[in-house]
Amino acid sequence: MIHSFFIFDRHCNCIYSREYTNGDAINKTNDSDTAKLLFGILYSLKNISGKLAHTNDDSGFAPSNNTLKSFTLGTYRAHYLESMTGLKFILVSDTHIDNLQPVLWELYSTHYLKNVVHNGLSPVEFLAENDPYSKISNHNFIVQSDAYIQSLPVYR
Amino acid sequence: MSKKGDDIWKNVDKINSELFTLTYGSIVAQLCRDFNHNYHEVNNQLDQMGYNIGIRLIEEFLSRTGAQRCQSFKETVEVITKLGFRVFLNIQPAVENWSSDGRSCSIVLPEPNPLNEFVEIPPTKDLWYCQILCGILRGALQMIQLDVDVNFVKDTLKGDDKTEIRLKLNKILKDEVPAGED
Amino acid sequence: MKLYSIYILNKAGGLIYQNNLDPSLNRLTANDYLVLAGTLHGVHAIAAKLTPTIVGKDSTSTTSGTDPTANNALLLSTGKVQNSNTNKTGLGSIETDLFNLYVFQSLTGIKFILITSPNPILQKQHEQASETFRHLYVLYSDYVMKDPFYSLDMPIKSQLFDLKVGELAALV
Repeated sequence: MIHSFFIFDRHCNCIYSREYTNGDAINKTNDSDTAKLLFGILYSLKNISGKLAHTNDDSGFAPSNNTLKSFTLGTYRAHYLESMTGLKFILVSDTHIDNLQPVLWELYSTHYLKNVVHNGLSPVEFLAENDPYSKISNHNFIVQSDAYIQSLPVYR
Repeated sequence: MSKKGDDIWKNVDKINSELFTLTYGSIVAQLCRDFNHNYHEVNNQLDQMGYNIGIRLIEEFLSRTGAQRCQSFKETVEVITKLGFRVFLNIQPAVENWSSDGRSCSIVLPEPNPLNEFVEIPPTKDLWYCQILCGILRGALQMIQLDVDVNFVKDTLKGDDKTEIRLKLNKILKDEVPAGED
Repeated sequence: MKLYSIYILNKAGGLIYQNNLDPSLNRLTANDYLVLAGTLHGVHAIAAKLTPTIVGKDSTSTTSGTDPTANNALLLSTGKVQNSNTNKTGLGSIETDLFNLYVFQSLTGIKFILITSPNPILQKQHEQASETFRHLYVLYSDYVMKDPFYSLDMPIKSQLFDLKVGELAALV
């Protein structure tokens, strides 16, 4: 079962949040403690993942060749994908769902790309809190990413 | 009464009980000599030794049984008597005399228990021969964030009708409960 | 599954034992290991705060897995060994490209952290890690707790424990 979906931008702002199992809130929890704690955990775990892995290159150009894929919180598993540009995609599911990397990649490379990046009227640099452009409120993105996630066999 | 904890009991290494009884007996006797038969002090020393055992023994207990946090003090006492005493001393004490608030009760040790078999104590009312058990219980419970007073109230060695340990739950050390439990 | 490293943290988050069994991971400085342990301890506690709210504000139904009451009832009625891991809502595991990390916690607050080779089949890997934890906790209770010269919450220097951990790792 998939519970929720978050996107953070490279400035650590939660630019999209979507609940699936507890109501169907869109962008309601972006500034909540939940989003902040989630980001904090991600940040720390990403550091650990990088630190413990061997680096191929000492110049610091490629700091680490290890990426964090998921972590579990109690009975939930948070799946994580970060783009080269620093966008962070997170899907929260039950622990028994192993790998949602392809799903996260699809959300990034198809849905985000088509509906946000290719959409000239949507910003790609999201602004500070309380600004109308601080979140992804793009209708097409919401509808299409919802349809995609809800069509997955692991959704229910 | 069914013998709970048997499965775990089978996998525990055992020693000859006479050696155990004699070892404990010689410790108590030595303490009595060391403290010039000041039995209050001997009780304190035994209690402290027990405490030092208890704070370590709890890990043994948890790792061998897989017990989880109890939801009530009644459940805690049940786990102690049916599993703890069974696994470590192969006895199963009775629990009685619950206070109305459910925070204190008595554990009655069956006779003879492995510690006091063959023992005849000096003519004093002060020595609690098995005081080490109180310390062990107190130490073990403290490590799982339960502050409990444990002391003997009766001992057959002193001519009482039974050997009774009184437990009283003072408080649950909530601040020290590790994060991540339910 | 291959065991890369084992860390043990006391209840305050201090690193009291580390054993790097396999050279697959980076070696850090002693200080970095302490920081790492502290970070994991902190993240674990934050995660325990986050877990009840992550799927929505009023979600209280996080009690899947083993319920402590049922666990103890089963233990009392059957006398069969149960799982001693009490880490129910904190950080449980991390999966990365190059390693997986598992966090187990005893009722007394000791954390056992296992770092293993990555494995795409997470459920099975978790069961194996869990089994390793069970053995490790028994070794800890034997060779650390029963060492009369060991002081609680201090770094574990026992060579005997090292040896036994090595034997356990070889069996995994």
